[in-house]
Amino acid sequence: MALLEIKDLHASIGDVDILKGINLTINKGEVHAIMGPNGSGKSTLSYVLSGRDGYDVTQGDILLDGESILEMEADERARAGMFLAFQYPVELPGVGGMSFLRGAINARRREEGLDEIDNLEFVKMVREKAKGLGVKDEMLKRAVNVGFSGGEKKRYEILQMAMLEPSMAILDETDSGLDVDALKIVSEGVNALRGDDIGMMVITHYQRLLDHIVPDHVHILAGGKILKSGDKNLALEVEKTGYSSFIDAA
Amino acid sequence: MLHDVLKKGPQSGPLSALRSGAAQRFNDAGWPKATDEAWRFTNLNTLAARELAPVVDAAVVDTAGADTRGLPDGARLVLVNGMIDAGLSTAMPDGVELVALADDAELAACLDDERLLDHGVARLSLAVMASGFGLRVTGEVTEPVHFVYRNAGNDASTHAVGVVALADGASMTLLEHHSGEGDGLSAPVLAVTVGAGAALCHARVQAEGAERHHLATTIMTMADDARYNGLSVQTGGAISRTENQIALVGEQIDLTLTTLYLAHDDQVMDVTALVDHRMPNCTSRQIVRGVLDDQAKGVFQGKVIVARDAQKTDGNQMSRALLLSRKCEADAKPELEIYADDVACSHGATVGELDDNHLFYLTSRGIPKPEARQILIEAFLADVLDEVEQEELKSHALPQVAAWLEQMKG
Repeated sequence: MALLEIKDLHASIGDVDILKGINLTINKGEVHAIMGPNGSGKSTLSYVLSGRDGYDVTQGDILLDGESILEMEADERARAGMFLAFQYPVELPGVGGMSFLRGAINARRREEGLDEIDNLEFVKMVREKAKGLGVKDEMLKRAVNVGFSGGEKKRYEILQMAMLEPSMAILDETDSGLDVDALKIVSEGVNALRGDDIGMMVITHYQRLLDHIVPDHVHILAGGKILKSGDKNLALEVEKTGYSSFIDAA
Repeated sequence: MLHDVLKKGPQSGPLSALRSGAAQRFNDAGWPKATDEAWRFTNLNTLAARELAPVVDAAVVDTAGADTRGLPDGARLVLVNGMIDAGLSTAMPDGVELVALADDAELAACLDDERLLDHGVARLSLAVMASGFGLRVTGEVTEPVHFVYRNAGNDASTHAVGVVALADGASMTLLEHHSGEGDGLSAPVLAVTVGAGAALCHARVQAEGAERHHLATTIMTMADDARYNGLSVQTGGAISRTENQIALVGEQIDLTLTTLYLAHDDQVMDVTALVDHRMPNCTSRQIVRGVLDDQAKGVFQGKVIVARDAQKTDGNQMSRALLLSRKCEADAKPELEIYADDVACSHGATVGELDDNHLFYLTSRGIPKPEARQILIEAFLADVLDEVEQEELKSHALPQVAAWLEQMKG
């Protein structure tokens, strides 16, 4: 069974149609890259999938593990296995990083009928995963994303992903604002999480991220539709010719 | 009616002239009106129309109705319906002398202050107070002193009046707690003087019952090198105001006051503060955070005055209100009056809702929306509480914040 099925998805904000009939299937173990120019609907797709308020799905369906998630709130989708790594992670002054992470894990555990996570076990788990991503202890103690650099924020997103162990991860422009070194650390973090139990959607404007996170499939999104799909070589083609040749051909 | 009450009270001693003067002014002016600038946002008309009976002795209302359970350990002064209850109070620590203002002209003189006599409600309290109390503080007092105000009764007003005088170089921690039942009014007045080099840590909790009214006036006068760290939390009362008027009359004074007000249902909650910089080289920081839910109304009136001589003043006052419902209201009147030319002052008042981006970030991690809202409300308060360094102040005031947040969940 497919992990994520997007069927003829139309979505709008107010009166403006953004997504105009997207069809896409992601199986467990696969990494799909969504590439597209600015304004193509990439971020909208990530928000509609993760259940953000303010977007109207006017047609079509989204199935996660065979079940429609359209009627589910963002938090329900997250507990069902969906994860969005934000393009612009949000600063939360006054919200302690550790209690935030613990709260997120426990919300999921409650749903599964499990007891809250043991505190020592939790701290051990955070430290271990944080170390691999170069997230310093001092960062963990701060309020969520407050005072973090752009690179630190992205690493913190991947840390949350590692902690929450989603079945379907959407990475929205994870490469934006990263220098080469940070890009490498983040990509390694993501690659470490690849596996047979997770599907990934990597949204990016540029090909360079896909040198590090090599996708199984590449889709070109423009004007709210997928114009072309292919393997990793499609990304190289985009790099060479730009998006306009695909848009003109469509 | 007022003059009848006055006849019953003590007519001799250092307070009598003050009381009759205050009574005269209250009788002439009556209760504050909506047309008075200071009371523009907090309307006392319904209260004024009720002809509340001031409690001047135990016979006027049944003081036994006041809940006197759960008193704090340690040194405490318990005021039941505005009067000291000697049985419930405990000994003051070394360095703290408790006096009756009627016997102490020096401390009683602290009440002879235009900030009180000109105040629409405080002057009533001066006029009808049953037994003013004074605290004379010398040296370094390590044990905190609790002022526990317990009130009860319908159609009655209580008027606890006190003076706290820290001598030069003295230091103490003062922890106030106000609570009560019934639909009466509590109108406590506290006059504080902080001597040269003296330091006061002060927490104040106003946790009156939902039907009560609470109109508190605190005036403070600080001398050279004095320090003040305050934390004030209010959650109670149908109509309430916590007013601070602080005069910095020396140099190198450092003042920090953090105020939280938390209101729901139809509560009207008013935080009014005046910081008057009269001398150079002083620092004042006031941080106000309000959370309003349901149809509650929050009022913030903040004023910083910097006199012509008060050069090098660093004065800050910032208020933020968080509106959790579309039916609540926040009124803010921040004012700066600066007559000196070499100062660093800032002030502001903002009103906002929970941020959708913040909510989405939390819910996208699996945290249910009600829980996410709760986390963000707590964060809104935690942000400023983290800045309060004195653990004693936090441990006194934060349980009230936690209790309020807890009832929000229900």
